[in-house]
Amino acid sequence: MLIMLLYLVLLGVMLDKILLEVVQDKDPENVLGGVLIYYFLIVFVLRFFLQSIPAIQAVPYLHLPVKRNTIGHFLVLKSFTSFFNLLPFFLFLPFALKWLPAFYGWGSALVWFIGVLSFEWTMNLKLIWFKRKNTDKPQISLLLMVAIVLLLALDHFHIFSISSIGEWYFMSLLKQPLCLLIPMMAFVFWYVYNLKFIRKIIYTEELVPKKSQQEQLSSGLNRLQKYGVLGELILKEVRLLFRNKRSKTVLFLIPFFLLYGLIFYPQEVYMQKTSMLVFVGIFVTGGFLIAYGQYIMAWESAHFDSILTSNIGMFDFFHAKYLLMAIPTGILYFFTIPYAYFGMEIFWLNLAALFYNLGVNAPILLYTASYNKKRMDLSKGAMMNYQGVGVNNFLMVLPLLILPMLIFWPLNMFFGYVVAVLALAGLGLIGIVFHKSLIKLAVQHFENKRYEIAEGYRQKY
Amino acid sequence: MIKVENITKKYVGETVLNISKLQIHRGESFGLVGNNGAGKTTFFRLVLDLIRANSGQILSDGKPVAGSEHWKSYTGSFLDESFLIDFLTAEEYFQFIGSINGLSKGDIDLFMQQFEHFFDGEIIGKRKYIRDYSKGNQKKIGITAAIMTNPKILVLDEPFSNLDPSTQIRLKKLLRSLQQDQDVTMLISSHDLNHVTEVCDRIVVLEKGNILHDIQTSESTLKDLEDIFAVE
Repeated sequence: MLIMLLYLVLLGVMLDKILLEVVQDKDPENVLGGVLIYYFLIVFVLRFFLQSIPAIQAVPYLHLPVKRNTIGHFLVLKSFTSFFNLLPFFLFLPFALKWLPAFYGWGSALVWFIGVLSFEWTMNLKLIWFKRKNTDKPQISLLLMVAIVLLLALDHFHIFSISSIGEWYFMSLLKQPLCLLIPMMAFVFWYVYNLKFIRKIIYTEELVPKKSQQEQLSSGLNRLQKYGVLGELILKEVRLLFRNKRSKTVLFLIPFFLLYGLIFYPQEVYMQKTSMLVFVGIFVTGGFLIAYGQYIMAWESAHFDSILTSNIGMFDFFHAKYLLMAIPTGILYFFTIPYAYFGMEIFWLNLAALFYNLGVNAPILLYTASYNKKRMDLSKGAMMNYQGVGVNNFLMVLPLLILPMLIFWPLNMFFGYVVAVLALAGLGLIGIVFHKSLIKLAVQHFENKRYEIAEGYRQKY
Repeated sequence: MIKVENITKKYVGETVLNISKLQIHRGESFGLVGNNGAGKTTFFRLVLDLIRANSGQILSDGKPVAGSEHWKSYTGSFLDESFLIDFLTAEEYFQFIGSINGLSKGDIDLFMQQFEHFFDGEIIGKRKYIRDYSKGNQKKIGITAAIMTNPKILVLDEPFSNLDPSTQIRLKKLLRSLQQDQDVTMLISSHDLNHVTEVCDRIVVLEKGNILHDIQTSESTLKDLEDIFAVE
């Protein structure tokens, strides 16, 4: 996730350049004002998925001699530790410091950023209330997304432009600091409202929301049970992915992995550096494989003793893991086919990258899984959460992306593009054909380290 | 059935378990008692090949357990909540454990019916994940899953703690019948001297990793054990 953070900072620093590039006939600050409205809305949906509401965290304090009001303040303030509240610092502060002062002066730039921040933080407060109200209705997030798409459509066809409202407001903010009063008043209002709201619902039994079940999905997958132990293991893992917060984040990132190519392909600069495109191809076709695969065993750290003592052969265990990386990667590949629009070279390269991911990267991840001995708590989100994350993890991911580049680059230089692509694809295909032998290697490696791994997974911290 | 040969386990230089010789026979119900840190859980983890012994070995059915898988098909175990897959519902978990042990859906359903009494209506049909059950009910799920596979060896760490009184009594009955009717070899640890003397026909007292007493249960065993632990 550190990579994510780096990208965010990079995006923030480059924001003025990007905006200049994308929209030529308007100033970046104008454009950004409109974009911000959508940003707030989209982050709100993300928050609804990923941010836990503070009320639940009150339970350990209720029996202590602390005033309810204090607990209320504490809970509301605690919600600000969420990662989303820091996002504006990464994304918009660089812009405010880099671009705005030259045209509007430092004071206005600061006011502008405070304006953005107070809007985002008001959204945070709004979410506490909203999520409490709707916690048992996951379909509401779908509604929110539909609403955003609708707004975008209305904007696009110039029927009702919410982005121009945003543009107008943030431009006024730059000229008139008093405009800051609007978000600040909203912030105070929602703060007080939340305080009251939380005080009202502070009894333990009302705090813990009833779990809504995702039986529908599972029952569709029950067919997997026909495939014996292997199917059973896969089914368990799918449930793991969908029912834990930490793993849900990985699922959530899938669209971003798939869309990652859009940053590179439209730009001539990158299109000429084919080795760079190898990196993009590996990432686009293998984003899920890497994000899920780098913790391939650690996902199960909480119940690892049960895996070790039950009647599961370690080969089956690893084989199921391999299929769990390979099958979704194969399915997701179809979503990357439209990149052929940017040229058939991209298409062939991505196909080779897919083979490489399945035949080389997936077995590598199975092998390196035995180096990760840190327990992972699945109930915590992944953002800014380094639990179960060691230096090993970063060192493990890098070769997955860099190695194919190192293979591709010299071949491309001396023998041309076709040979280089064929080499990548060939390596991948060999790996796929011999995947069972490669899995066996990973199992052997695991057997040498099993006690250390199991011991590491038992350490709660 | 289980044979211990000169096994020692050290943590950071300190010996936490040191058993030179111990044999547990087929169909025996073997109780392990001792204060905290006596090495009960360490011993069970060694039996289940979850930790590496510093020396010696443990044989199950004549073959070493370490690094092998033969014992897994006939050994049921529940030591702690890391034996539960907590994001599954109870039914899904039973289904999972059942089918990796080759039970059919019908076998599993039949088994669940037999356990209805033990569950006391608290487990099945609750539509919630194992992590949302109470500690006691989690324990019921874990013990049931361990028994479900018709094991020849059953390893349970502190099975009575956290259970409500009625369930404790039901569990005792259940364990006795398993031993008598199906000749299951049982390894049970407990802090509760009462329960363990009722269920086990042999009791070993561990202290700081060493076997202090090895007693065949008789009328006076409970009294003897109380005397052993009533220090100062």
